[in-house]
Amino acid sequence: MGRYIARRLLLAIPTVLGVSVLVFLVLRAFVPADAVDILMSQVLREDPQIAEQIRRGYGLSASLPEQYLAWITQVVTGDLGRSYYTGRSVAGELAVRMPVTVELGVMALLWAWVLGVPIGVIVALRQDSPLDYLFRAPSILFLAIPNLWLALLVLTFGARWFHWAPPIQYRTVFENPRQHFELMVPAALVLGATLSAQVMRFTRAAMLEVLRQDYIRTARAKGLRGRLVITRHALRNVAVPLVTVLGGEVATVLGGTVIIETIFGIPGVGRYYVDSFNVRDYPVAQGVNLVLACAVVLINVVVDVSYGLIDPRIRYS
Amino acid sequence: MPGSNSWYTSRTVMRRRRLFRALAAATGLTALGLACSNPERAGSTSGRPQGTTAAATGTQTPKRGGRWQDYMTQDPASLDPYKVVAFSAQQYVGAFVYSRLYKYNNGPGVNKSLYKPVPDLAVSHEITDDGLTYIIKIRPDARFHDIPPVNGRVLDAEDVVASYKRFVGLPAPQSATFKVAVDSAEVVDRQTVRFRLKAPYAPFLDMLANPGFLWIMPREADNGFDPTQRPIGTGPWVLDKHTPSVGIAYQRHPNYFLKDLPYMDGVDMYVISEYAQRLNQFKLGRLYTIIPQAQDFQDVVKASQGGMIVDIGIPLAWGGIGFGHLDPDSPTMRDERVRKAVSLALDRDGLLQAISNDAIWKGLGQTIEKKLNNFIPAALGQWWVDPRGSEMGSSAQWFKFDVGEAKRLLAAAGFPNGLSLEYHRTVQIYGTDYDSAAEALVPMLQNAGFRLDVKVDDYRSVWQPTSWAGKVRGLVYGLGAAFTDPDEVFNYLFGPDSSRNHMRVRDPQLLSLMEKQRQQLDVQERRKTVIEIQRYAADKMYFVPVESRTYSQKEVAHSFVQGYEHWRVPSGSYGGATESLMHLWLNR
Repeated sequence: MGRYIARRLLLAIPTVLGVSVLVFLVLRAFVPADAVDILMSQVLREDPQIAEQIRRGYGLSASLPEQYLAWITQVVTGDLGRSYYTGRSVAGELAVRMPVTVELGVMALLWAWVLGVPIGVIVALRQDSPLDYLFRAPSILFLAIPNLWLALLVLTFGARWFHWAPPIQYRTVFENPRQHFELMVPAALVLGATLSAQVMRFTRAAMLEVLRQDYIRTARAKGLRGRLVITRHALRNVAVPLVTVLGGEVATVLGGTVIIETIFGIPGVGRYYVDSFNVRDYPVAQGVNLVLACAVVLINVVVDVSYGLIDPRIRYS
Repeated sequence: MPGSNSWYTSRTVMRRRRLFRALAAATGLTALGLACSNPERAGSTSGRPQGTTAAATGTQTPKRGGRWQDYMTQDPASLDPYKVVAFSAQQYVGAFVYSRLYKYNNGPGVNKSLYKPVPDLAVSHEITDDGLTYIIKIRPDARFHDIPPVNGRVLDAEDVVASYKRFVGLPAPQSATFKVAVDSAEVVDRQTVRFRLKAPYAPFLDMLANPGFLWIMPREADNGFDPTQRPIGTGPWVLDKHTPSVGIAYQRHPNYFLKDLPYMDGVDMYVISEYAQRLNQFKLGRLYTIIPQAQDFQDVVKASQGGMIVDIGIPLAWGGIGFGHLDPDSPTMRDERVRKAVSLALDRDGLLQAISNDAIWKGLGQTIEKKLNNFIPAALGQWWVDPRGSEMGSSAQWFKFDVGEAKRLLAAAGFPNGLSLEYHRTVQIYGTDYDSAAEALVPMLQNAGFRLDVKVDDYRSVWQPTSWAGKVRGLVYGLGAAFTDPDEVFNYLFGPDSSRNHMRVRDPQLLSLMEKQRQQLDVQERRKTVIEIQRYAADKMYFVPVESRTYSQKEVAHSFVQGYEHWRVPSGSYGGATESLMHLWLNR
């Protein structure tokens, strides 16, 4: 197992490097309008001299390979650069924002799984019953409703019916725990709504598949109680594909929090990235992309390793 | 009522999508019922629920204390207003922390649409007879914030000159306009600065008052501290804490040079980009003012508990249709008849009626002032003329709604069967008024014989650097920047180096007239030339002014907010933190 993990981590390095090249090229070569174009487009005069001066200052006059080399050399020393606009260190900003996004994501996933898995199991056991239809309908609804609209509904009707709105300002859990959770919990619930629907439907489908297996029939035939059949045999076999789904959802949540962060005013990575992309703040956009790519690669390693822990039949040789 | 095939029928079938508005800059109070023929007359606020009167508010003694709660639609692009061309840096940082030499006049009875420069750091000025030199006296009691390395010392002429040199020395794109007018700035003595201009420049004081230009910083900027990390100025507010994507907290400057001001202890600005959030926070009393959409107005007034409804006037933003220069042989580039046909195809009154929600406001008992844009935006009181008014002479005809004449002109230009053109617009950046207008223009133009290939351009990557810079074929409908002087508007539209001179026009007569008004220090004479330029521009139609939010807006303030009706700056003006906020106080 140890060798497997080491091998996977080593293989992750070229993956991350490949992502870094892709991100770099997409931002600097393929996306229309570079950082200077965006800045100069706000100016009311065409001034090639100023544009060239700014371009040199940002290091954008060099060739693309030179620019990439300069950037990646900086990155391997732990320096993700500084924002063109604010001058703040990207690593410093990420150190503050990433935990916020991670917390939001973890809360959303927890809520999705705490709700989705049990309901998925129950409706699988009660397939085609009224209970099954009762839960499947809202799950389709939550899958169909965009997060954006759901968030706006929560805000609008929260104020109208309950005289409630989330706190106007984000506070850390250490500054003001109550205000912190009053903001984060509704945001996580909204973000987790679609995820819970996905988890529920996937769990149901996987459970139905497993419940049809011979070993389940055998277990029942042996006289095992229903609960034991489900928890000891069925769920264990459902866990492997569920973990795969979890890995994908973590990646989705990490990259998909921007709308929720914007609406609820949460200073996470999502907003930071989108704002930087809009103005082609390359150090920020590249740095965030790289960090998220590393996180996704790491999560995939963890998911792969967890297979062996869940299912002893899976061996890493 | 137009016939069944008209654009109006199409328009009534279309539904405006009510998304949340991206609110623009600070809004203000302007006079209701302002008439161009009487620019000095100040107006009044509209509608006071539950017996709250302006007279009663105006005679109360201001109270010290409390913190102003307000929102920002986005994080400031930078804490250094010289480093970015972004209203957020000017409005949310510059106007709080820094002072200018001049600022725009504001207060009870002031006609704010005149944007008259009045002293801020300056005490007085002299202009030499040739109009080339301005000698400005600086007040001796303006102290910087008590932050190292400046440590609260007194501002002097060296700081002003150092700020000027920093402004024009940095690759600050917005300084380009300043550099065109100003030759140099030098210290005369500790309290006196001399600006030498390259040519007489009538709006020079306006330029010094404009929040887009010269903020006065300590001479230690870049050499003792970094203004992008810790701005230090003489403004009424001291930056206390900036949390990116969350907000900014300001404290009152205890040694501000205007006695007893500001009244409040501080300001908390929160980044709230969503209208729904702002609305809810206002209803709960966590934000102190809001500009509601028409359908939310009653709820908002109720939530304000006897608060103030303030007419903030017509926003500085304006819009129009430009003609791309990518194909120099295109009909729009070659033939003014085609361009005039575009203008004649537009039902401006209908458009304004629709986007202003006039019927809804009337139903709520509120009156909305509506104006048509000319080349000078409707918000610029003394410089604007009604495009169909008598001052425009025969040029007024090009602003009529006359589809028949539009078709006739097209036919005369060689297109009896109509003309195919690209139509560029952007989306979800200028607000729902723009989006509605951009949609409404399409059937109008189609009815006049223009076959449009509609292109929706991404704002940052395509619209700003390409489409709205005229680097397209066909038509491009967009909004202009918020200007407070006609010279800025003319340079924007027709200046030879302007990136927004869509057609890349270099019309000698137009440029000559622009130069003339620029140097006319007498306001009435200058106004005549400004009107003459608008008539000439209408006859050439290098750009087609169109309505998009040329109607007055309503803002609601909670009942405990005092002074708002007198001190609200006009909508689109970025200097509110100095010109308005420090004069407000809270009665709670």
